[in-house]
Amino acid sequence: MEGFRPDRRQFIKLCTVAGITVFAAPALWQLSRAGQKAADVKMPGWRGEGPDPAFRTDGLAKVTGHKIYGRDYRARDMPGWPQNQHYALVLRCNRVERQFTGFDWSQIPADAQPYEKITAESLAEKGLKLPPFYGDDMLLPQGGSPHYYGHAAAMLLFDDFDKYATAKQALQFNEQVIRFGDETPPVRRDPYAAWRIIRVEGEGGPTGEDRYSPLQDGIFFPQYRNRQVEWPTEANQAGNVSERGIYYANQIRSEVERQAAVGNWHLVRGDYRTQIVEPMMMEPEAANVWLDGDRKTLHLVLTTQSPQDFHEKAAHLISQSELADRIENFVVHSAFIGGGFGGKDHTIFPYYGLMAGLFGRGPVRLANNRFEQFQTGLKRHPFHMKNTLAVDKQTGKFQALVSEMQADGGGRANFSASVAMVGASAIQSIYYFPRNDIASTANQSMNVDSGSMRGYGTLQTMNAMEMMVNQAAHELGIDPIELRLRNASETGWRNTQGAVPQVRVRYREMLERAGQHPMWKERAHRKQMFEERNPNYFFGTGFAIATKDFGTGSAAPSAAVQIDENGRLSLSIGFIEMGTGTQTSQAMLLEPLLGRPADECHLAVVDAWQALQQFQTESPYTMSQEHQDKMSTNPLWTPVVAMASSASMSAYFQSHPVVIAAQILFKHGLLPAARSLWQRDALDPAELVWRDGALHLPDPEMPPLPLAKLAAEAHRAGQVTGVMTHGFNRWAWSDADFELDGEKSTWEIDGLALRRGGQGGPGGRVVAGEYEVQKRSAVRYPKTALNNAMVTYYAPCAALVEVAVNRGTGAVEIQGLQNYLDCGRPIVRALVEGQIEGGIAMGVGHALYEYLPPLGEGAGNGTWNLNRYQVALAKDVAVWKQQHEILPPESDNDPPKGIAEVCAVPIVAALSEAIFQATGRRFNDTPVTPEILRRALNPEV
Amino acid sequence: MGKISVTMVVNGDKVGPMEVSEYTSMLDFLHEYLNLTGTKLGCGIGVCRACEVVVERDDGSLEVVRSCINNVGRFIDKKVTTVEGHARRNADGEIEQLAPIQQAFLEHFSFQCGWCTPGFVNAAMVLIDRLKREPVAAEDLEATISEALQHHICRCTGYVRYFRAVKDVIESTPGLVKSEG
Ligand code: FES
Ligand code: FES
Repeated sequence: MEGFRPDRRQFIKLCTVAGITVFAAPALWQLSRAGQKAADVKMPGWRGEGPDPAFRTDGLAKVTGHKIYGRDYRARDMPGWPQNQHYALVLRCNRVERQFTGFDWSQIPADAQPYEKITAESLAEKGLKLPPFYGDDMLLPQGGSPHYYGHAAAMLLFDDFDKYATAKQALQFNEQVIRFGDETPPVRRDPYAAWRIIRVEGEGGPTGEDRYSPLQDGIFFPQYRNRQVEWPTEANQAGNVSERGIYYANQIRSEVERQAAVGNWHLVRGDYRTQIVEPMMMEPEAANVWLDGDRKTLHLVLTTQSPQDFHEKAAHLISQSELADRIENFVVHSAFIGGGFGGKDHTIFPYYGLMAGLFGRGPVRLANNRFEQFQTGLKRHPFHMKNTLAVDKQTGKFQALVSEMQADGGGRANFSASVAMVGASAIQSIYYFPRNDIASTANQSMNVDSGSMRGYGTLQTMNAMEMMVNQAAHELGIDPIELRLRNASETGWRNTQGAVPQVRVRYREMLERAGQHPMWKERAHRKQMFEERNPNYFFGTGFAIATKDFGTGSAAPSAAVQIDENGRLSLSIGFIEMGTGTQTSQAMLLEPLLGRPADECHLAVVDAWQALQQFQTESPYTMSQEHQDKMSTNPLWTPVVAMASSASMSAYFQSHPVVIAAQILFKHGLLPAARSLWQRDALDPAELVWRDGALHLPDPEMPPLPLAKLAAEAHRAGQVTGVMTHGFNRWAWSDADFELDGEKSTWEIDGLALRRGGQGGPGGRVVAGEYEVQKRSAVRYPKTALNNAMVTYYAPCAALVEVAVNRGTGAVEIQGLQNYLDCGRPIVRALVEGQIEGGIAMGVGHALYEYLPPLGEGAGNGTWNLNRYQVALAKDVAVWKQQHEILPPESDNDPPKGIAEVCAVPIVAALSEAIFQATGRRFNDTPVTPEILRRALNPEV
Repeated sequence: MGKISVTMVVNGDKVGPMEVSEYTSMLDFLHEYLNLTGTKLGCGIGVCRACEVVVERDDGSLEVVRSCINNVGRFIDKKVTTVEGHARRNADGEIEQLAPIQQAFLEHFSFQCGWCTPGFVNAAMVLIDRLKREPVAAEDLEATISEALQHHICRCTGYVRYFRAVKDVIESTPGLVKSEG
């Protein structure tokens, strides 16, 4: 057996964390195996001839069933691993109200015995503890009561598949194997976080100085008493941040009541609830982990969306355990992801895989089936909002927004704190409010934990806003699109946090286009016609719009672009492919700048960036301006070294360092090469054009220079042949000055390394040792005060929908659907359209079908699957009738925007409004299932 | 654990006889015994259709069968095609030509993560096979496609691009749509 040796060329050293060296193995999908040729990213033909690529870079592999996903790999697929695959099974508690007293192992069939039973005690013995982000009690200790439904109690390891399958059959729904004793009170903890967004505009209106806002005044926090939030009560206009905040909050609330009482303002006030939603990515989570004891090396194949974070935390976990001296290396085998939607971002699952591997006597595979995925996978937070929207009766202008929202985070905190914050900051949707008081709490509960599922709090809160706006329009007798036009925020106006969005807002344009659509203009007539022809149906039309913030306020993407002597371009990025087409669109980014798309695009790269030699210190969210200023003088410091992937992030954030790397490669590699080949000292880059992969001058005397020729010259002459960049974005990009080839230039990055000459690794991979770090001479980071801004990047989307509601069954059929999106400049149009369609299906599911009850009846009890949990099918989304309009970019320089999430949002409120217009029943809660609607329409039955 | 002996033809290759536990699902058999992982687990209970494989009936016509809820025993001595088996490959196993439906799914950007793709490929192959024998009237084509693919779950795409790709292939393959009159 050939094992891992750190000196072998195919493993590339990434970094050392907590004394453990992390290596990257070649991407798994590039492996060949018997009878199947590797269908890797080199598949010829994906680029095609047209302006857009012919198909996705990963398309061939996916359409032919090639092994590419983390879940696909078994021990025998892995070079150097033992052939015999072991399997792990997790036993989980399906109740919470009793003490866990042990196991009845006699429930395991005699011919299906595990060779290892891992319990909390086994973990404690070896000092293995979850990283703090995930909380405590990875396995529930005997004597405790479960913290939440689905809390894991033990893991069993089997040395062959048949034993594992037999045991799983016997144990999965077995009520005896985990024993429970006395009744215990439920486990309760303080809320995970609470936020307050109070703003009152000043004399200068939407663009002037605020009287009070989080951006200007800072933020303050409550105390927790009896597991409840208690906001300060002291109010003082001249006091500290909280006293002033409470003063203005009180003022807003009393003004709302007073103006309503005297008849000036119309109030829409209500409770708005959203359900627990399962991300339902189609690939359930899996891990395959082998500890090669002889070589002190741990091999990992995972399905996570956040591999960098896992490796770092896992290394710390091991270094603090009794196993520290048994493991010196990690080898990371990266794979494609079969859907994520945030459900695989910072999930606890890989840590169970890790534990299985650590106790295994061979490679151990842990793979959720769908019941287990429902039972344990991260969910979308259910929100309960109490909202008041105040509208001036004369002008139809929004005067105030007051909201109190509770998000249920479930049994482990995960991202609940930030989801509650983002939800609160998003409720304003596209509108301008002169005053707002929004309070938001993320609570602990015994539900399965929720995480960063698509929407991240905004789908919940923005739809509540859209429902209120539709209701206000109805009650005030104003056309809903007209009401929106009167209240849409404009470029340069402040949001509820007091910040000014960084991108131009095109809400007005989008609203006007929707207002002209026949589905909208002729809606009364169409309703009449339809109902005449179909007497068993109600017909209605609904509209909603949303604008999704994207970004986290501390984006730190890296990229490397390099060219070999033959002109092959390779691109490396930290992001991974979750299906959205990141690899394809990122590869395409190079074409306008370097004449060709990337020949290879390496994803999930973690290794290369060490060439930048960067380090970080404190949390980018909480560091002081002083700390930032002081650290900025060190040319290798950065607020954040690496970031996690999310679908909405790649288009905007990952593209940025890619484009800059390509620009630098052009300016300092290919341009000097062109000068020398054309023997022209002065070349104006503005005159040059790429055509058919060659650089052209307008001068017909000058022969075009193919990329290969330029590359060969750049390599020969010692020009730049590889550029690695790192950017930092805190709602604005940092920029820095560098001296390159004797010339000072400024780029919107904070880290840079260059390669001259160099061979690269296999398949054009980056070899960090070939790069030389370029120390910046000065850097300007966005002020730390922008942390209070919460979010300032937006991409808007609107949905116009017609429905027919069956009077008897309550079933809703979409008759027509028109979607509008502003995605900036789309990199690959077909990929954007696919995102829109996918978002709509997910939004339809949220609006009409998807539902998990809380607690004991819910997913944590282990009995949920797709037979009970209904997602949208083709028949539910008007497959043959969907129309989309992507607003044309305003210029070629428009940045692409993150849109994966926003497309799922407005369809939800558009559907509730269409149902109201059809039936006269208004629903503030989701989902409106056929059953709910049937009962509302036929109360007597 | 009772054992059964299994033989069948998978993607043109004879498989077995192999001894496997009698409760082994076809999906587990493909994954754990044959190491063919192109067929995907979605739900494991017969709802989502990610796991469909193509089986040849005695009369040579094709049908789709869910591999998650059918034991391997049901496939003994059958000819089975999985997503790995549709493209034409050379002696080295390199892909020379895709099935038209695979090509169309590529060109339409039909899928994103691709987990549901094998199920759609197989269901569409079987639909096309059926239409060769029983062509459909042009005005019924959309409904026919909707019906054939109605149970398939895709969480990424919203189905639109799958359905359009299938329609394209059917319309451009002579004999699948009844000519007028
Ligand atoms: S996995 Fe077989 S139908 Fe879902
Ligand atoms: S493409 Fe991801 S489930 Fe269909």
